[in-house]
Amino acid sequence: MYEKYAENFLESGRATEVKTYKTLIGKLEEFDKFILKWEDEDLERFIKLLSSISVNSVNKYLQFTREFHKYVAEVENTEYKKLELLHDLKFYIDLDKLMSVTITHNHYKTLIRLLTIDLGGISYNNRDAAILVLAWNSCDNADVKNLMKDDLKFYTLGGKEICKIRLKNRYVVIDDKEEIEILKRTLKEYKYFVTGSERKREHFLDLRETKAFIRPVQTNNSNKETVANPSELLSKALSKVETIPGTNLNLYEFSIESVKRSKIIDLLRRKDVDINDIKNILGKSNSSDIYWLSQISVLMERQLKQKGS
Amino acid sequence: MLSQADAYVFEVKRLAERDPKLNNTIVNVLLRHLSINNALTAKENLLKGNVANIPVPYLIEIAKELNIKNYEQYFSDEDEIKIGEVLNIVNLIEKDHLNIIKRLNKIEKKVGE
Repeated sequence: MYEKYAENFLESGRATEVKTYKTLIGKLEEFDKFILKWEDEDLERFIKLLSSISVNSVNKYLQFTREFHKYVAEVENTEYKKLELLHDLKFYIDLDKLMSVTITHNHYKTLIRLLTIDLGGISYNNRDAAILVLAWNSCDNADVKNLMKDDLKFYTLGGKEICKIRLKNRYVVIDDKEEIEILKRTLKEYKYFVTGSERKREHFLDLRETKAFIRPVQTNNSNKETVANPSELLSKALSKVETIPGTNLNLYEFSIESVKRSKIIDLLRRKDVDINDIKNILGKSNSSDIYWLSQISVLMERQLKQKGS
Repeated sequence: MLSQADAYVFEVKRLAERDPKLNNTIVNVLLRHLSINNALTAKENLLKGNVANIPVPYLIEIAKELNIKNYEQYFSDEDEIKIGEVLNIVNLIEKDHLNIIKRLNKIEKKVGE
């Protein structure tokens, strides 16, 4: 239905994010009504169908849908009618999907243990667990990718071991014993264990000896200092864990961003914390982000109470 | 242990209430030394008047950043020794980071030449 528009549109320079537009056009193909025949209610149904998990992505899909709609109208030389959503953007968030990529502190602790592999008394794949630890402690994908070994300093203060991590424009302090152990083991790790599959037997790969904290595995065709995308590595590692028994978590869909968001939700569940402080720590998040995340935290609290955990 | 804990808390609270931005300052100081969870707990404890579990050097750093005049009056001589110890460690670490940056800059400059 949209083939004749898609190609030119994607090359026209109006499609700012080609990948997202391709997904969007794919969804439009599955939709039961041609975009030029849409009314507000159809836009409503379509946006809901996209199963977004944040206000930002709802907003992005809305803007992109309007841009494409405008383009199709121009090609067909018909009047473009700007369609409006009937509810606030939060209404279009797929809560079930969001909950399936939101972890609690307990889930986080379980995942750290599941990501590392113990073989003959030696712990492997701490690198994957370290990405999770950094994400939980508010580091984003670029922070993790660009972190060098020298950026981590370990010291003891008042009898307690602390790791101070220098990021581009701030410091992050980690004072949890288990998290510190993971970071230390990652620094010393030189082999990565690859679990077997139908096509390949389990085997070890060497980790490249570089200055980066999260190091890539040794391959013949790459001499990169850092890994390309830590979030993807985390995703891959978590998909091997599959799920935590007794939860509806979809670990295939996890990213550094979803772990960071989970941490915010976890903080918002704390009764003793001032929301303004959380906003301050997050820096870039605005009030509306915090508002909808607090609503999710209430929902999560309710679900956990129902489960009795 | 803070020798005049109540007076200290009273002054911090008074300032934080007068200027909400100072609330952020308190958390930011604590975040330099503590994890997110512990920094948030420490700040809430501080504003509730419960400063017993917050290391004195952090309290001093907060007082300095809030520009509390004559903040020394709240602390004992013994506190001063502890402050020296902790700040030394923290400064050494940050100095070390700075040295690395300086060294890298020098190398980059040389490579550029």
